[in-house]
Amino acid sequence: MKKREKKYDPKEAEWASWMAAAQEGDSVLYERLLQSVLPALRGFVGARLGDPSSVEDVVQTVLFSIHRARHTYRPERPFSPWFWAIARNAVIDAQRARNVRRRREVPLDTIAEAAQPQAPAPKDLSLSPRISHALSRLPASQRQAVELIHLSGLSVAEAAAQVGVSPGALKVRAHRGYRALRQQLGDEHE
Amino acid sequence: MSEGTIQLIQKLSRALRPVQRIPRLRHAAGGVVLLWLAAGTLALALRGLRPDLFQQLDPAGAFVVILAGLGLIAFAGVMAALATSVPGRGMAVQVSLCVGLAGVMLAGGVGGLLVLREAGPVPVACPFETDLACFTLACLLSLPPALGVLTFISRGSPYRPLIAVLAATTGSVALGALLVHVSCPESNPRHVILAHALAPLGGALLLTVPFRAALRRVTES
Repeated sequence: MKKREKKYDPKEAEWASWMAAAQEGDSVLYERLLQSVLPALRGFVGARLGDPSSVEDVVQTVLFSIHRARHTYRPERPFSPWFWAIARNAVIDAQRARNVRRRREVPLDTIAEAAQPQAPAPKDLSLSPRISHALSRLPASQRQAVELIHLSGLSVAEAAAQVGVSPGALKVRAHRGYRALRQQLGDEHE
Repeated sequence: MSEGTIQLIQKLSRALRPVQRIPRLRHAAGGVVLLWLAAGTLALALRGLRPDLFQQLDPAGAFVVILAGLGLIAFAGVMAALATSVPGRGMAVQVSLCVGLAGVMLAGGVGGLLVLREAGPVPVACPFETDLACFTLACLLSLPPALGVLTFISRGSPYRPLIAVLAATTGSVALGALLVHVSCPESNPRHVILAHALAPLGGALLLTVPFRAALRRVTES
């Protein structure tokens, strides 16, 4: 683990001094630090997650965590162990969340295949105004994923091919869309 | 997506404010020891040392073994709690946990066996109320150092706060049990094992949940 991490921190001293300056409130060096660690961080997260669609989310989580925990860095100590510990924890959390999601959820393509009749009848796309409104408020990519999989009745593979992304990425978009819909409808209900 | 990350970096940079660094672990540990010493001085002034303390200081005797075990648990618990609150101190946490485990085995295992051996076939009678009194005192004496450790945890950034609190309570109750052990004259094996040697584990079971709830309230407010 350490060997792998070492290749990501060639600018150790520079990063440490920038972080120390950031603790004093130097926003220029702070921005430079975050920009500088970004490629290494993306590589670190991507190598561990494997799912490209969630890499950027986890990278942003790490940046937030660094911001919130910046007072815990001590300049007399090396920067890398502090930084990579935060990154590693975020990756572990993301992996756990993904595993929990996988255990709880039935794959969408399985549902779609099971629900598909011999001669698929065109689905009734008329939705209640409330759901239509909630759907219209979703980001375009999530709305498209939900419409293709849930409303048009395409399998995940077919829908992914139509959109031009991997099935995994489309499932993630659809999942986020469902979650956002549930939240919106729940908020309205309350 | 990547544009979102760049925007986030800019936003975080704009929102940057100077921060006060968290104290060094050794300074925080020093503060905890001072709190413990203050509580201990008061407790020993009121309660006094056990009358046969100097006769008990045989390096191979149960008293010293349990004292050493409690010392290891206290050191390890406090250090693990402090180290878990700072990212990148994983090695210190692992070492502390190993030391703590050794302390539990020494105090509860080796110390317990030695106490049983030293007690003879007919041990001195001891009411359960005395066990409860010593255990309660150990928990009470743990409060000042626990407060110090929890303050540090609340200022830090623990990845798993429950583990940090568990280590803090175990270590703090061990500090309290150390004082109880040097001041309690009881030599009943059940009493020494349950109310002295294993008090840190019992105290951790009892205090971790309320301390975790208190920490949550402090960090959320």
